[in-house]
Amino acid sequence: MARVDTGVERRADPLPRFDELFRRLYPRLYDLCHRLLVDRWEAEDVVQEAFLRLVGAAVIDRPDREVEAWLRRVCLNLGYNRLRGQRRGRERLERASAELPPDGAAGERDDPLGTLLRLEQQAQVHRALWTLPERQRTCLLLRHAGYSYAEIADTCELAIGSVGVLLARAERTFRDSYQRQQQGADHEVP
Amino acid sequence: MKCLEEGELRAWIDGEAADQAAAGAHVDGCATCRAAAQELRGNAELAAGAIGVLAPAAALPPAQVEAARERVVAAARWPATVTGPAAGAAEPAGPPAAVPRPGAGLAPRPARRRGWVPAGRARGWLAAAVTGVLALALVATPAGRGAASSFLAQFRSQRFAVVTFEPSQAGDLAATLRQLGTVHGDLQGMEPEPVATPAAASRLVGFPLSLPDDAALPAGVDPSPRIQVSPARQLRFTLDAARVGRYLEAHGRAASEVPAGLDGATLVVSVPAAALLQYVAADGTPRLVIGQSRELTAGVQGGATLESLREFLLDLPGLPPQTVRQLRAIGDWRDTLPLPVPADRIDWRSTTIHGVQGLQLGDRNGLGSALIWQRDGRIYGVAGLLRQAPVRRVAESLT
Repeated sequence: MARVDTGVERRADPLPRFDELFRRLYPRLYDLCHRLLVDRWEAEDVVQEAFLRLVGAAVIDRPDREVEAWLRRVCLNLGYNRLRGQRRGRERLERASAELPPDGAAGERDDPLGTLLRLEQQAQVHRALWTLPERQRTCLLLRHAGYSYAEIADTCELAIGSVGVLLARAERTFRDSYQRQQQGADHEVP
Repeated sequence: MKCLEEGELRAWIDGEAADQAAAGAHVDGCATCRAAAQELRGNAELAAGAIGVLAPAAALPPAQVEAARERVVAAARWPATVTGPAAGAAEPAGPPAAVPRPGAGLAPRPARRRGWVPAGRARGWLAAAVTGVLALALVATPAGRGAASSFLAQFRSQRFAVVTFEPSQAGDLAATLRQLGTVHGDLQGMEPEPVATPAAASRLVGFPLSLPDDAALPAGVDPSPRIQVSPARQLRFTLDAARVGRYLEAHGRAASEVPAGLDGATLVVSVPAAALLQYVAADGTPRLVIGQSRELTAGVQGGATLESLREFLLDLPGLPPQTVRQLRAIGDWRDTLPLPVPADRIDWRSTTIHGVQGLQLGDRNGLGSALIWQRDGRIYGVAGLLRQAPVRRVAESLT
């Protein structure tokens, strides 16, 4: 079973496996990354980069469940890195909690008037998410992107029994923070 | 059975408890756990609804997944043989739409498209409109004076012209551009940042902001706006003759049609800093946005003029003919900024505001209206989830 990749000789043909994984997982990973980055192109970029890293990685020969968790982790790490990079460039302005990651769902530019409300909502949600510790935030994003507890546990490298605890905490913190956003408490810029 | 821990309760709500039946039976008989579960369920529903707004507007069509897969496979330098269900279907005559092959084919990763993130990135209507304009502006009336004044501004926005488009075409246009060259731009700068006071915002945009008369604001909004500024930034589009050649060939034209001077010519669009004043209703809903910025400018660096680049781009095959026709119809294109408007959703007409000609826009459902005009080298926009009259009242009160 264990094959040695000499780096010179490739596996017999890794492409069919790669293609199958790509076609099956790309849409869901895109959805997840979109929730993190709120930007269609950034989200696609991140998922493609994650798959590119899968090329030649030993993990591609592991069972599906491991590869899937690996891809989710890489996507999330790449996504967070991008957001951190953006943040560094913006720190001169105001509070870090006021971050609004890039947004840009395809149809939105077509309807600037109707988009106003949605953009504001997205900004509020993101500001609220960013008040959570990263692990809680990740757990929350995964769950509400439809991942199961087992998948969340695999991704975050947690015991499955810890997912509920983490999620309950994350949702409570999120609720408080989100409601504060909506009440406008965050508009008072120090 | 003793009471459930919070994590167990939360898992039970999702049908993920280790023993669903036992947990359910306990909750049924335990008021404490029932109350706790109710709170957790409420929190979960709130989070689900809120996080739902971050989801993509639409699922990816299979063709787009396939195109992405081809890009990654190409970048990984695997042989681009096709396996699985798409076999046979994926022998395109030309390059797949919206999939620019990386420059010399050596790019170690998929072509970057971050330069093309359009409007949604911006919060606030004016910024959204301005970004929306860019896709067309780049093709048509390229805008912008370089911040570093490294070239002569050949375009300076003075007025607006509506260019209607089919919403489905907007993506094509951007995709076409990506097939012709590279786009660079710090679009992160598109995100407005909160600013404490109008004075601080004025400093950032470089001119004193106009503020509305409180009495003109719609009833029920907080007269203290949230103030945001999106910083100035530059977008650069560099034409790549090799890519253009491939594009032309894919459209049945000769690659030799690329004028020599255009290779490497860079269109530089300077998007000014914009201030956004957002007025919010008591329930936190944004009702009104006032945007202000300096003019948008553009020019070309390299062996081409703005005019030759514009001519060349408008002449390319594969662009929506109706859009091209409207763009060509703009006589004074050196100072008219095309404002892309989805014709099926937005009505507009020319209007006079503060003594200059502006545009009045309204969505067909009567949900929102906007006014946009340019005066003394500054762009003003007022938009709201309001009818036209209250928007105009605010616009006219700006001093």
